[in-house]
Amino acid sequence: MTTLPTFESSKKPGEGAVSRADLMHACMRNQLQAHDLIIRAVDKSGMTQKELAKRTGIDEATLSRILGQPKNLEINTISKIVYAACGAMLTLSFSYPRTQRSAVVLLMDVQPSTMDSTMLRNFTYAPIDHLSASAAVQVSTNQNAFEMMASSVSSRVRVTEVAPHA
Amino acid sequence: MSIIARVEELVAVGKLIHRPSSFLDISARNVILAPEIEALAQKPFADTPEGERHAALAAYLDAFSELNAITVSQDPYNKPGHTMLARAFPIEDEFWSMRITHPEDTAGMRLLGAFCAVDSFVGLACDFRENIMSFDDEVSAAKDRWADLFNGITPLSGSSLRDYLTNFREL
Repeated sequence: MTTLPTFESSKKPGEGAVSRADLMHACMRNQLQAHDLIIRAVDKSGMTQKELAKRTGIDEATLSRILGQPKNLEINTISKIVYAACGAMLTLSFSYPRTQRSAVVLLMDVQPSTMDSTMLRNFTYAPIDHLSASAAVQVSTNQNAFEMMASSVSSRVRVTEVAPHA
Repeated sequence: MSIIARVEELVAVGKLIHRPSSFLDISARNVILAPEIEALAQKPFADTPEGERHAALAAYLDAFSELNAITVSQDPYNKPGHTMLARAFPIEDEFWSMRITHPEDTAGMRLLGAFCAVDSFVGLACDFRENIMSFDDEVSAAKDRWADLFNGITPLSGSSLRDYLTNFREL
């Protein structure tokens, strides 16, 4: 028996190809996560689009479209914007829906020198019965939102803040 | 009766459904939906083009619940085509359109509703964009549904976007 996590699917295992709708759901989720991450990075930087365009080499019109809506962006494009905006690298991880083991989204690894009180905070998030499978989750920039999240998660889930880099 | 108390009543009797993120089971923002709309955004999705569009709707709602950044436009008649949330006309009625613009080869979907509190959206009318022949009629349908449910209580009204939601980017 496998111990690998599976994800909630609209098709039962063994039914062949994953449903196109499930694939769309996965793709859209990641596009939305990337869009959110980019906006947070840019807002945090305080840079204008013009300044960011100059720093990244991405033309301003394209940058405006990227910030305007979730899109199917290249990893390189996300990487350039996030790094140029706040010196952060991307961390990519697996994630699983709430019914399974853990949840993860794109994370920014912020350099210690750029940390401040409003930086993104990292947490682990794991079902109680799979503590060893805990994984990081990027939450919001403020304490209120974290407290809201912590109070609204299921009692089967543990959320713990991860100490920032030393 | 406060608007929140009324929402809680409606949720308690099943006339509205509170939908946390289907992925993280959290509600950093609140999405409250008419039952038939909530059903559209529930797995399993049909393995059809329509199912893909419902999956996109679910992903958008999850993002809203998880406090993702939202792009917003306040002018109903002058907004970028890709804005994620826009005021509906007339502005003073306080209805908004959540604009699901994916999959990219479709016209997307529109979810019409109003805010009942900061970061708390009540969605009352939803359809594929190409099925909405008259946007004003669709807004009217949402307003009528609100009137039926809320007994004279009006939607949240604010003077700036910060009165409606957090973590937004105005376009």
